[in-house]
Amino acid sequence: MIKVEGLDKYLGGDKILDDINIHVKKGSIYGLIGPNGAGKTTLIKNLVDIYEPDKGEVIIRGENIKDNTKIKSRLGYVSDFQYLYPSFKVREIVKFYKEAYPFWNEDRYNQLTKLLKLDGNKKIKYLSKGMKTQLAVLLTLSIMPNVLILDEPTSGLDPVVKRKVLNLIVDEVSVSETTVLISSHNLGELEQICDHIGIIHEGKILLEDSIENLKSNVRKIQVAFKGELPDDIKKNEHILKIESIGRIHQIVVKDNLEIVMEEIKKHNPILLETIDMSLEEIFVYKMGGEGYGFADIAL
Amino acid sequence: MGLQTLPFNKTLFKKDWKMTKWLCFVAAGILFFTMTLGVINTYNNYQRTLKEVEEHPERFSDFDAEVHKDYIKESLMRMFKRLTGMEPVVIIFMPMAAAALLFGEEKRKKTLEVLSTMPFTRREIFFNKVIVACVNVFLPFLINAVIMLAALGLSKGLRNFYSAGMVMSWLGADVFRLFVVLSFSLLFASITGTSISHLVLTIIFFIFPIGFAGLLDMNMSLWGYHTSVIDTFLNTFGTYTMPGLLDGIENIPIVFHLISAIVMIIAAKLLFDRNKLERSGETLEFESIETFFKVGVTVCTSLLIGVIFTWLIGGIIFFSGDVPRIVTIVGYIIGILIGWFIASYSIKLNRVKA
Repeated sequence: MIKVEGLDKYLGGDKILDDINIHVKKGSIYGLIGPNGAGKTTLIKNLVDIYEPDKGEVIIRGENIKDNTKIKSRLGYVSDFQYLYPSFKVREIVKFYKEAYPFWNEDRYNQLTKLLKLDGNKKIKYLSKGMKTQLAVLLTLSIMPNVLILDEPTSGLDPVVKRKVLNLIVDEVSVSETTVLISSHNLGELEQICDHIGIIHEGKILLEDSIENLKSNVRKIQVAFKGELPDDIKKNEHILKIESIGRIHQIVVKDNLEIVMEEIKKHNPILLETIDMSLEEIFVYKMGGEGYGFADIAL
Repeated sequence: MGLQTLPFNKTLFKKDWKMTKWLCFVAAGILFFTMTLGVINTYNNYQRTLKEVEEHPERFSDFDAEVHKDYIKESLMRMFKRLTGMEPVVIIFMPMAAAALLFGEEKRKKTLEVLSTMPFTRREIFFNKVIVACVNVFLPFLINAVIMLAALGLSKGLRNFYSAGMVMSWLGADVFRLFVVLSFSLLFASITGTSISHLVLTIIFFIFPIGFAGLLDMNMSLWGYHTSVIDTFLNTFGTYTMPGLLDGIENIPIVFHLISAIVMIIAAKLLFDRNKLERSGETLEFESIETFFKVGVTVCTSLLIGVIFTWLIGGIIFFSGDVPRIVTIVGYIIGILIGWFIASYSIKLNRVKA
């Protein structure tokens, strides 16, 4: 549904994106994560035809996005800052979108206005950041998009509105099979809604995988022994990290959980259990495994 | 083979018109109060004068009604043929302001980014902005022409003073001038990234031929060279420059200006297609012209500061214009430093962060 092939982008002489390749399947929610300055917003601006790639191309629904009105008529975009016409009233910008997008759905719009209460007579310049984001989400979902691209849509929103916005996005995917690409610094939030994750760092995609695979590849084992942690476990090549509190040890394992479990069992542990890891923990440990220090990848 | 239709888009037109219509009404108002109102009141004023003469003949001993009428007619004719009152101001600044609002402001406020994600082509966006700019600049003149024509239709007395033909010639001449200035402004709208840099550069280049010639002339005088070459050049080619448009219509090379206006619009469209949105908000849209801009500003500032510095030092220390040449050279150096700093700073200040 969304395919980026060999994309390079320079800004002010610096290479911001370097040979980016991503693939987002129809109906999936793809989370784009990475530290500040990694190139997330630049990549998203290339996806929605704000920026033109210096090399490579962006294919959406089988067609190049460049100046493509057919694709853009079903492409929804919510940016981190809402650059809506400040002198327009809410109802005027709604009218503008209604006339611009051929698949505008009035029923959907009316439904959403009941959820997101916005004063139609208020000028956009007088709306708060949260209100502007709500308006942008309302407009974007009313155009009946089959591709939604969201650049940190929940940053600066209060928890209630954040939950509302995320629910709307999830509903959109389940009802209309919309393909979503969303970037956020809040990995907990992404973990709840995404099925695929792409990690970008210094303009390069470091990995792309389903959350399911990521979670099964990196696991945490909680173990306790009568005595010290045996040396051959400490030296096991499949172990990414060991954290110890008293006699309880938490061991992060990459890829080969069974081998490590067998190794531990040989030493008769008094406690042995596997714990699910959060996306944030996986992200940090995975990056550690890729040779990036925690400081480099701090979100 | 499919026919290529004009990329008119009602939605874009309405949006752009909403953003700029106030400009049109302000210009229409200025023209009405500084020109049209006077024109349509001509007959009433004439009648009032006649009445006054009748009531107080002692005050108007030499008054001849026919001579007075001819004088009014001649004044009106001059008004229709030459630019008067606020008319030149509207003709110069209205197209610049319209282009700055439609292009520069959309770039500065990043709303052009939103537009580029919507189902509009770049061609549609450019074309509709040009149409709205044309409506904005032509409509105030058209409204005033219609008022003058309507007054003519309603008042028989007015027909003794001006004709529909005179109004139409006035309208045609001003629409031509507006079209040329608008094309010039659109060209600069396509190479600048903000409304402020657009306005500043358009104004500088508007007066550039005369301003630069004047600067050269003053500097040559400082060095003891008095030449009529610059005067001769301006007298010969002055009407081919943008300020030359403010001359009487009969002196303006219309075909030359029309062709150059069309070339400027085509160039503006080609440059707009090459605009990169990541440079929106920067002083200049193209990195390749930054050096040209810096050198241009530096040279002009150096020449200007050289003259001002020489005059100041001459007045304060030497009490005459006859000062050592080192003073002028120091002025040039100060000008180079100031000019380069201003140009570099304006580029750096607006540089968009990655």
